This record gives sequence, C-alpha cells and structure tokens, in this order.
Amino acid sequence: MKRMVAGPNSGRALDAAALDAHAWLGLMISAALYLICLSGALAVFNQEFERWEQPAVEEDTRVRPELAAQGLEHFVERYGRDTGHFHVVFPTSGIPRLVVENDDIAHFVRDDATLGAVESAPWTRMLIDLHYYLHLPKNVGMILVSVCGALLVALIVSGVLAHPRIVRDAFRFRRGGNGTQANIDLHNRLSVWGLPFHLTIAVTGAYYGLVGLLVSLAAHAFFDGDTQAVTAPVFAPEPSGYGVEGAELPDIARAVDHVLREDPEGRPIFLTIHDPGTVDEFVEIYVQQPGRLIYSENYRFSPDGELIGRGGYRDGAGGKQFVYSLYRIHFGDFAGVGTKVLYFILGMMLAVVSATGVSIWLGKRKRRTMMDALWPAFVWGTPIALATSAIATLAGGAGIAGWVFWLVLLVTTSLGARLDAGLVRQRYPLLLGGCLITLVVLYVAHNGSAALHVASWPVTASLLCFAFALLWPLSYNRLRRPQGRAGDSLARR
Amino acid sequence: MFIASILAPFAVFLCFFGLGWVYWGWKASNRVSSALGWALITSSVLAWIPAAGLQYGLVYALFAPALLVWPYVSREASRIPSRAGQQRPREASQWSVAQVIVNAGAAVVVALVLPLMAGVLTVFVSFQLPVAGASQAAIGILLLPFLTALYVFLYLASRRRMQWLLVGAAGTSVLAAVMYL
Repeated sequence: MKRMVAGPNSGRALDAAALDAHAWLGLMISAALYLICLSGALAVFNQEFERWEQPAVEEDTRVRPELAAQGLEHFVERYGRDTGHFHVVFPTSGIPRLVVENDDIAHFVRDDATLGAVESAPWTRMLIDLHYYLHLPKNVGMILVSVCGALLVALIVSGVLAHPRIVRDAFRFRRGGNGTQANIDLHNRLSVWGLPFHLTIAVTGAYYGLVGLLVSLAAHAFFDGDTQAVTAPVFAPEPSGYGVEGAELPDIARAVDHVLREDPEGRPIFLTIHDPGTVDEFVEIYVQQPGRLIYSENYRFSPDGELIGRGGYRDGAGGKQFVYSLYRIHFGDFAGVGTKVLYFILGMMLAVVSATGVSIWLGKRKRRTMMDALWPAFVWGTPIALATSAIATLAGGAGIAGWVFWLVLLVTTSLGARLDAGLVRQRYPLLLGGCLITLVVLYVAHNGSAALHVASWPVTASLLCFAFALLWPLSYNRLRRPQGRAGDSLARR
Repeated sequence: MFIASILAPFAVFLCFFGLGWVYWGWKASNRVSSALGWALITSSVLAWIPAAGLQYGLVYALFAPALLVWPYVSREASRIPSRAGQQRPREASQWSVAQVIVNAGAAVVVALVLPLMAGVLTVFVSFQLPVAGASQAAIGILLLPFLTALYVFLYLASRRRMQWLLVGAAGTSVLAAVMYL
C-alpha cells in the first residue's frame, strides 16, 4: 500500500503521517471491521431474532418460582444430572419465555410445567458467533475481534489527527461528482458526530478478548500465576463447601422467592446451579437492576435455599461496577427497545464508516482495478449472505447457516470482480431486497398463523419495510420510464 | 414516570436546539453562538439525568448528537457537478511480492506485537497506581486500547518503523524485567 498523499510538507507533517497511518490501518482491518460492525448492529436485536425464529412458543412475563422448580425437575428426569451447570432463564430476561437447560440442551417450559420445544435459534447463534468470533475458533476469534476494537481506537485517534478541517467541515455534505466527495463527507460527518459512540464501542469491545491477556500478564507478574487472585476484586469468587456429594436438586423455588421479596425492583434474568451434586454446589440468581448499567446483582444460595451472600456489584467499588457494566454499555441492552434502536442506528453508522473508508481510498486512486468492484460487492454481499443464511435455516439447514453465509459471501464478492462497480451498487441492493422478500414469504409459509404473533411480526414487518425500501428504485424507474418516453415524444413534437 | 416523559423530549429538544446554535455559529463563523450551542448540548445532560437516571442519562446525552445533527447536515448538503466521461483507466491488479511481505509483517506487528507491548505497559502502570484491585482492573481495561492505539499510531506514522519497534521492544523488555524478575 503506497502513501495516499504526496510527501508531507513541513507544516502538515502530522496530518499527512496520521492520514497515512489511518489509511493503512483502515485497509488492514476494514473487511473484518465491517463484518463485526454490521453483525454487531444486527445482534443488538438478538433477543428479538431468537423469539422470531421460534414464534409459536408460549409466552408469559411473570416469574413463578414453583413453575421454574417443577420445570427443572422434569428436565432432570429426562436428561439426568451429569452436567456442570443447570440454568433457568426467566421470562423477565428480555424474552418472555421460561427456559431450563444444562450445558448442552435447552427446553422451553409450558404453563403446566412440562417440557416444551427444544430452544433453537441457529441463525441468531450464527449472527452472534460472527460478531464475537468471526466464526473462527472461539479463543482466536475473540482475541482477533477485540484487537479490532483496540485498532478501532487507533483509527479514531489517527482519523481525528488526519482531519485538519474537522471544524470547518463540521456540517458539510457534498454529493455528486464521481461519488468520492460524498463518501469523504459521509465518512467524516458520521465519524466526527458519532465519535463518543464509536469510542465507547471500541473500548468496551476490546475488553472481551484482551482482558485475558491483561489477567495473565498481571497474574504472572504479581500473583505467582494465580489468575483468580487478579479477578477476585471484580468477580466475586465462587463459594464452596455448601453442597453434598450426590444430593437432590436444590430448593430453587425458595431461593427465587427470597430474591423476589429482597429485591422487588430487580428483574431476575436467570439462575444457575453450579456444580450440581458436588460439595461445590450453590445456586446463583442474576437480577438486573433498574436504572443501572451493571449486568446484574448476583444472589448466591446454598442448595437448601439459604442466602450465602451477594456478588456486591450493585454497591461495590466503582471499578467493580464499571467492569460489570461493560456488557450492557457495549450491546445497548439496558433500557428496552428504544435504546436498542438507538444502538442499531449508531452501529449501522459505524458499519457505513468502515465501508466508505475503503471506498474513499479506492476512489482517490488514479487507476481502476478489480478491487473497485470487489469492495462494493463485499459490502452488499454481506447482508445478502446474512439473508440467504436465514433462508437456508428456514429451509431446514439449521446446522449450515454459517457455511451458507460464507459461501454466499464468497460467491457474491467473486461475482463483483466480473462486474462493474456501478452495476454492483445498482443490482446488489435489489438482490438483497429480493432475498428479504423471499425470506419473509418462506417464514410465513413455514410458521403459518404464528407469523402474526407478537414475537414475530415486528421483525417480519421491519424486514418487509427494508426490502421495499431497497426495491423502491425498481418500481420508481419502471413507473418513470414511460413518462420519460412520453416527455421525449412531446418534446419532439 | 410523568416527569421523565416530559423531561426526555425536553432533553432531546435542548440537544437539537444546541446543535442548531452550533450550526448557525459555524455558518456565520460566530464563535459565541457555537460556544452557546455546545453549552446547551452539554446542559441537556441535566435533563437526561432526571429523565432516565444518572447512568442511562449520561449515555443518551453522549450519543444523542450523533442522531440529531442530521437535519442540519442535510440543510447544508450541496451538489457538485459530476464529471461525465472522466473514467479512470482500468488496469489489472499489480501484486508485488515484496510489498505483500512488508505489509503482512506490519500487520503481524500491529495485530499481535504492539497489543502485547501495550499490555505489559498497561499492567505496569495499573499496578503502580495507588488504587485498589477493582479500580486497577478498570483503569487497565480503559488504558489498554488507548495504549495499543498510541503504539500503533506511532509505529505506522513513523518513517523508521523498524527503529521505533526496536526501541519499543527494548522499553517493554525493561518493564517486563522489572515486573517478572
């Protein structure tokens, strides 16, 4: 990659060097960053997508301790106790459904406490895995994605330094020309005004994969390799010695009852039975706190339902609260659908920043190469691949959603190499619109009347609106063409 | 609840109005208007906090301008003439093996070596601060991406990358020796 700017003169050396660094780094991580940003913006709605994938499940927003305990008993009767954890996900978790699960399988619980359908949201899982790991092996993928977060901070810093007209251009947006100026203005306006959000997402995103590096370095430097000693001030250590080897299921109804009385404002999210049937067994209930960004306050109980203590996240040290708030700050999962919509829009803006960054670099070059068409094909091919993987999932290919995604992305991007960039920008959005219409038609055919359930229609309606917005130019052009011809003939007369 | 339902739109209005002042100040090159606008945007946090609580309110106050600025940007939108017929020549992609190796090497440095170096410095700095364990962790989490960004920026912006890398590696080795030996 050669320098984007001619040699820097003495007065603007920092701008030019910053622009060089910004361009190099942007090109290096642009594709990964675009995938992470787009999937992240969509993953804000992961709970809504999960409900949408299984719309026919019974829903209820109440937390009923007895029902949860009976549901868990039925689950253990069917699957046994040979697991490291049991979980009960409450209907106040964001998805109004009661779920019982072990480390391998999850079931919905019906109103009569019998086990309902197996929880299965393969497309949502695929989307989340794309955002977390880029579908790489989990350890490697998460570190890579987090490094992208740290590099996004570098992009933000170098971008600000490379932008000497940051104030002079604060509201400028020039369309037309060959499109490069519009891309530059869009890239800069979105980057500058969205800077607080971008920085927040980058810093919190860097945490997940890189915290392991920090813990490991600190443990070996100051605690003789004891990682628990590093994390203990933040994450309350697990209690032990409260369980009995081979004991019966713990009294979770009593524990949940206790939480509902002790913390009436809180929303129980889920419950975990750690190391069931061992001496280390204990019950932990995660309770979301209204008005707070912390993930939850955690109540810990012995197997007989006696309170052992709290995690201390609600009123612990500021640093502890900060670290435990990173998840909700990153994913916007703290104040209902309104905040999710805000995060979705801002996340899409960041995806547009990633996409336009490369387009600017391509547009400034004096020659055209295959890359000029490959990049827009990749940008538009990604949502097409996401839509196609959802279609494949509905058509019965639940286990292949990830493979379909990458295959379609490969095909659409490679096809771009054979097309003109303008044609890609014109046709691929129409293709995406077509894929979304197909997805909705298949979804309605697959789910019948359940497609009108409150769990599904908001997502279906949003998909339809987006599809029609993409297909609008098609109808507009068709309607307009005869008028244009009529106008021509009138002019000739 | 009632107060929140009044204060939230008021906070939005305050932010939008503040952005308007910034816009008019920008357009008329009037710094006083701009400063007043920024003051209004900042003061919207005082409406956001009672409307949504301290923590949510701060988040909304920080992120709202990114959404509310667009009416002003679109008001300022202009069209530049398109230069029809100015098509750039199409050429086959040219790959230089040497350049690919140099770029791949720099990518490894940027994605692996520099974050590791920044990690060592982060741990060193965090544990020198007179704060308790949880605060050390929080400072470290905040510091790491910024130090990584600084290292990456200095490396990429440098004309003598290898020299910079060697100096950085030597500094990190000294820190590591202090911490581990």
